[in-house]
Amino acid sequence: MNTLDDRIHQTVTTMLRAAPDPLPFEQLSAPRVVREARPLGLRRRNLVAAVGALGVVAAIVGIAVLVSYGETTGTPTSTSSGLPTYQRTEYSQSIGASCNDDAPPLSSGEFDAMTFESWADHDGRRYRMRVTYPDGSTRDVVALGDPWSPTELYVRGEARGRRVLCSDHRSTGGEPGDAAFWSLSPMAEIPRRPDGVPQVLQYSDLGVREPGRTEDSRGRAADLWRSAVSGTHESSAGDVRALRQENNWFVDPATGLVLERNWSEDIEGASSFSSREVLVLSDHRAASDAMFATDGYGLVRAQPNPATPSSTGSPTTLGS
Amino acid sequence: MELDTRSDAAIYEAYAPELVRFATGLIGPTDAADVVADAFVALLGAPVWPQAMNHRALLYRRVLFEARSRVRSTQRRRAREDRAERVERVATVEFPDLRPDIGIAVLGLSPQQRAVVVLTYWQDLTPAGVADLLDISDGAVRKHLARARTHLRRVLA
Repeated sequence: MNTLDDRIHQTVTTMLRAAPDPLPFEQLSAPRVVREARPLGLRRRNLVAAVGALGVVAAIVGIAVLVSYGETTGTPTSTSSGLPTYQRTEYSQSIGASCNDDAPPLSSGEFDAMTFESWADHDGRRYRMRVTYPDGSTRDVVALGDPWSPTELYVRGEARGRRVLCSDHRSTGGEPGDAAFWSLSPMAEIPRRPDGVPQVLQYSDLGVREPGRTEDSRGRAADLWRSAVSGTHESSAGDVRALRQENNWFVDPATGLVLERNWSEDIEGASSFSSREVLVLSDHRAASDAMFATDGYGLVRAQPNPATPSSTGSPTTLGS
Repeated sequence: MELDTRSDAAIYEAYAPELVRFATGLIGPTDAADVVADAFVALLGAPVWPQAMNHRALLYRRVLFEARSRVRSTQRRRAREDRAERVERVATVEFPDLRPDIGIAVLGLSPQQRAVVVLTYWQDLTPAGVADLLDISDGAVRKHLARARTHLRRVLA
């Protein structure tokens, strides 16, 4: 470093020495309205918000993303035929985790592979997702109004994807979506904020396209979009470890559909995680009202959505 | 369905200390913790959060966004104040350990320039590393850094 660099370094160090402690997590407030034009208006102090409330809001409203379609946020799967669109995706994951304390890793769920099926009835504004686990059990989600921020969201069954949690670093594993509608490529138009920024980021927002053409794991011609980040992960105990995360999207050059997404995260000496989502089928197919019926489901969210006015019908008669 | 709510807490606890330091470099210590809290709460309700591949980078970008919004808001509120006086006062209050002229020079940088300077000199990131973290181009990082160094050279050289 030359003298100027030394002095800038010293200046920055002096500035950052004044940094206060962060607010405790428990003092953060939960968003009242999610993904409104400016959702930050919620004040964090003096509002009691349990950790659980935050997690529930995030999981319910954070309609699963990291999806993509082309360069625009148009509705990629809408069809003039009026038939609902359908995607089937095979998901698999690999988890390696060791804890740095005496406690063994906490695990939940049991499966590292599962099949996701997603239907979008654009005319009826109904969205259905079914996860099928290796033992034949299923988990279902029905979203009404809008898949991103549904007016009503129903779930049935339990998430059984394996997840590992250590007390000294974040959890790893699980499955896409949690209590939300999920698809590998978006099945409805992605909403934008008033400033034009899409509320759901796509591969083109997050990654960089590699030159040339490649193939996905099934041998399909694809453009590769990649994002890789190296940094450090600091545990709650102050243990700093090297972190690397990589995301690869294989995109159909003709349709813009994501054919496959591979994600990996390595925290040196602590955990490694990788997942693969492979689109195996994408088409249009008829779906009966029974497909979107919510008998036996639990309602996990119901709220008016100004962006997508709710239907006046009951859930089972929507779109009929 | 039982949700694992601990992971969000773990993420916050893991990154909040470094984010607060980053925010301190952007806007000073007074609002740094609030900016980080705002950023986290905003992201928690964003659709990208549950499936984000890099929560840390998302948080850094959001903290920068929040800091810039706060700077703009403050500027609007104090539009009628004399800018030079205000900068000097803020520099004295926010960075009392710095020489006043250096504090004023730092506050003369744009938030983007400050972010690049902080990440370069505090975290020792390369321009490519800063570009990855802030989701801007390598060229933009080098440009911000060059302008910031030119600006700071006046008081530090």
